[in-house]
Amino acid sequence: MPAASHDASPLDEPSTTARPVGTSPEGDRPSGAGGVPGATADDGDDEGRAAYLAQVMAEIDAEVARRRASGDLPAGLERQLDELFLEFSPMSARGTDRLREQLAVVDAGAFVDIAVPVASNKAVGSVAKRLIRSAISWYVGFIVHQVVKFGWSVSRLFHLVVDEVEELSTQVAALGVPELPEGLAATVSSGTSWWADEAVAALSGVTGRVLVADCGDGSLVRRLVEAGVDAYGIDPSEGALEGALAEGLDVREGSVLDHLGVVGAEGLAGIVLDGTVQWLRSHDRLRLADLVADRLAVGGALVLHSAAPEGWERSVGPVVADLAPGRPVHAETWEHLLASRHVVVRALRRSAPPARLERLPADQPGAAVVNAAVDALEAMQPAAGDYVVVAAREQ
Amino acid sequence: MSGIHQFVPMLHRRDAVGEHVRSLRDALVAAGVDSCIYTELPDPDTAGETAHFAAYADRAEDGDLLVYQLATASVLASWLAARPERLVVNYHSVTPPEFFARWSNGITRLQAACLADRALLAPRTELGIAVSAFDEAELAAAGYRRTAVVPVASPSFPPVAPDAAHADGVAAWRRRRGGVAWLSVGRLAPNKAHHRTLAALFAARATGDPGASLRIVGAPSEPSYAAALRRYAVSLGLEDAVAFVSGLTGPELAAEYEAADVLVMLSEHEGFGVPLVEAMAHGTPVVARAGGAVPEVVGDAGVLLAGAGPRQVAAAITGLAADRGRREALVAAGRKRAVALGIDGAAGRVAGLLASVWAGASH
Repeated sequence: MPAASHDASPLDEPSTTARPVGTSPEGDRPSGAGGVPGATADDGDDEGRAAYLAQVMAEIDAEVARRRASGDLPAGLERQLDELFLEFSPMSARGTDRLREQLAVVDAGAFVDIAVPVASNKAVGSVAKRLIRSAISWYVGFIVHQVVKFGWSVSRLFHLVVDEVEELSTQVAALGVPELPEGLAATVSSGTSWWADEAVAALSGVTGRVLVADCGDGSLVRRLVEAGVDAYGIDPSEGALEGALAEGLDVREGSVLDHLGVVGAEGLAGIVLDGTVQWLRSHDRLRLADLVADRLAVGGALVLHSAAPEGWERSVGPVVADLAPGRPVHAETWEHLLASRHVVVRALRRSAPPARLERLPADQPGAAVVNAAVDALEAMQPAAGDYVVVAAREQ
Repeated sequence: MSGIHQFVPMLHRRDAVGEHVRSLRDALVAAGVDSCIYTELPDPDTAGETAHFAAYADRAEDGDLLVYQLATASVLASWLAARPERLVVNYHSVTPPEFFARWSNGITRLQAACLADRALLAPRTELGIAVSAFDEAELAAAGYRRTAVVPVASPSFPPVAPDAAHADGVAAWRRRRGGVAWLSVGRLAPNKAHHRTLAALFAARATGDPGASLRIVGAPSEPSYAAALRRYAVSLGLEDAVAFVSGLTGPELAAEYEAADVLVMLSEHEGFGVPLVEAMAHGTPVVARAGGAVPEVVGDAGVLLAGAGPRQVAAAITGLAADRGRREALVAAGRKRAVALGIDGAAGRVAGLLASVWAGASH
């Protein structure tokens, strides 16, 4: 089967890869007379023309970046345009509504009308048709009876299947993840965190789009853009994005798994994972690892930040800890999952452990009371903090 | 006397495959080769030029070479697979079925059946002729051992003069809008991604060219997709900026090209792209998505985009329209490219390839 080229890249605009065919991505073809805007194509000056077109593509990229920044078209509009169009497709209905809709079509089609129309423009025609219908009704009726019987059997089967699917859907929905209470899922401000420098250093100089998942207030996206990186962000919380959108940053609402699901293979030069990725369910974690390994270009960089499992519950509070679908895993686990997918960890950094409070010697006056207070305070401190993993796709 | 005979499901006039078949038949006859066209179903327009494929069995001669024009699913494939004559497949690209899955169960199954036909014929095909290197790679992947590439013989090359009355109508329609005149040519099918062109037009009108207009020329080959396009255009407020046109003659199509500032083609799967050649021949600059065979057809004579994002397409087109020098450079390069592709000699080249296979079969 031919390979379909319908992979969706982020925003569908991999701006730095847009180029005329025959021109290297770096635009390093020798420029000639045609390498000036406005130059006409000279006979035989193919290389010059190619260089000129490369310059045209660079101008288009610059214009796209300018429009993105200007806010002429709000971020997220392109996805909305796609979704709007798909609403008009015959398969637009979702879930079991779609099944019920199609089932109604099957039901309607399962009925075969034996009463063939006999109307005619000519008087004799109607009579003739009536006679023919009457003459062959025993034969047609016999066939139709079997066809209808088959049709209704199939329809009945489909009804049973849809009933089962609905039942399963209900049960699966009950296993879904409850939404965290508003305000308990903290807004991520990754651009000011201790590992932001690590991320910017790992991603500076990459050629291509860089996704910041769970970008929160967009501060890391901003830092990357300022460093010359073609970065954009997604976050499941629309409210968290308000500031970033107001700044004109290229961010939109969405979950990391859904978004990576529609990005084309090797469509990203870099990925930053943060926030909810740390408490994914185990099968979602594996799916995320698969998606990252596929969507990241060969040589592309991955930066993964996560809370360490020790002390995580205390850092997020009891409600989030109880309602979260999964628990963070150790850095070594991510290293294992990624390495088996040819994404190899280059660096691992952990946040500094919190400073310990000193206990009084037992023979000091009031030591018992003070040390009891110290123990209580220590128990309230987060234990081991968080870590960041920097990895690269090797093949 | 043995000959080279073509088999095609239906033979249509003003159809890329149909005209290719007729041109090839003419080239073979001109070279003194006995050549007939056999079809599964007759088209009233061309019934006088064809015979039912079953009739071939009584006319078969030792040494005959059979040519199957593979573009859609047909019983001809299994019938030819069982024939003893040597076989050449002239492959015209098959749109992968997944493009139609959302739109039409029937066409999806038809496309899947066509891919099965392609695989069925591979083991006993002497030569697979593709219209592009992109299609040739598909043939090779499907198991065709010997392949060649010859572009499709287009009836609209060299370009014909535009129809004056139609040109006046198009010019008046364009004048009322005032902005950059976009043109998209191709049947209304999901793989052609006309909806992305509409989204790009919306972006262009919202960001600096409120008068931009688009004429989409193409038959509604998938009705549900065509209907969705119209509803989409309305929902985007583009009903007055977009015209859907079909059933044009060659001169009328020429008028559309010459009245346009740019041809936009954002196809996601394109086996050749005849409109690209037509546009370049008419001096209409091309902005296209670099998918399928588009890069090899356009070369560096057009603006090729890696994606079809609305902002990117809009920026490419408005930038092109604003820069006369850039536009002239592309027009000049396009005219050269259209000639260099050798469309006008394509039928002769295919005939030559067939003759060489036929000579091998005869001796």
